[in-house]
Amino acid sequence: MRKWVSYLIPIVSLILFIVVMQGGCYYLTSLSDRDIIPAYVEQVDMDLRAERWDDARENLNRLDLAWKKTIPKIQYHAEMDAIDGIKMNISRLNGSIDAQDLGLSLAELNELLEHWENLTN
Amino acid sequence: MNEGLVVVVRSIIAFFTLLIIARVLGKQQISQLTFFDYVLGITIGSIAATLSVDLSSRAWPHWVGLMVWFVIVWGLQWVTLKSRPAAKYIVGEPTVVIMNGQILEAAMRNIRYTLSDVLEQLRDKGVFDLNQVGFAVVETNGKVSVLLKPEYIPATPRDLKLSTQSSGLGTELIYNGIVIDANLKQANVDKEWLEKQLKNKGIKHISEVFLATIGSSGGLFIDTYKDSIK
Repeated sequence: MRKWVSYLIPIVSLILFIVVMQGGCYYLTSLSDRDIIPAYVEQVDMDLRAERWDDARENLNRLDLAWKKTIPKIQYHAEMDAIDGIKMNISRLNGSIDAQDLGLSLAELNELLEHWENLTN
Repeated sequence: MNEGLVVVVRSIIAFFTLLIIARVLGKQQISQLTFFDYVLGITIGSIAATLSVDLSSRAWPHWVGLMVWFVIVWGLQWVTLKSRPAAKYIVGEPTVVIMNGQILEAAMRNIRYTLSDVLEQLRDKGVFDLNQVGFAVVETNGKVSVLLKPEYIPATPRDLKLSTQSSGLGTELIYNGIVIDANLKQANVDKEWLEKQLKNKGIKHISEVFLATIGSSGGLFIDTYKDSIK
């Protein structure tokens, strides 16, 4: 094997590992896909503040669907606890919207956003 | 989250990172490892295991930790190669524990080595009588090197003024019933010659042979699949 090839293989491998661990799969997706979760969070937030509970539920379902599509892209670099945290936030938001509890809903939504920022930074 | 798939990807990363680290750090044999190298190996292995299966934390910090340990070890290796005083300070130096047949108790105490440790290692080297020992040195890897008194050192062919032939290295001609053509050429023999030799030993076909090697003197060693142990 040529010498430069024997050096190139480990260097390329290490770069590939860094890309995977630093969320390469997520950052390779389109910008619109990346912004979709914060956009839905903002939408739900506006619905909650205006007490439009049906719209909030509808947007939360869209958020849940978008989140499920995002998991395979972030699972290689994210903590399992943070992923589970967002799942829990969505579940609790479902309950608090059903109960039309504004305080609890906003608290959950803010926690979800915090988890999301931790995942993507 | 598909935990199985994530573990597969993280294990691949940990495995090949370890492989690259091991190749870069060199070919030091396990038997030559000092205690510190041994502990380093365990620590690096442990970080790699966590990187592989601990999904409760991100892979990145574990990988960075792995690389930091690797860089430190690599740096220390480089320093010990370049500077003899640094090597002496970092790796330590051999300690003489038996000199001219005298056991040096103070030296043994300094390196926390007991008499039974020394005797055990001497027996391991085939020395059962302390009277035979001229010098014994505890190396930095903890093994004892022994120099026997001149009267107990076995005579060599040179001492007896005997002429010897270099035995050289054996070359594999057949392995697993398959002839290795490149080695035939290297040993200056051909397939016909090999088949003739096999026939002389009562072997009808090459596929019956597990291993056949040829020494530099032309001696042929043949082992067949059929073992006739009585």
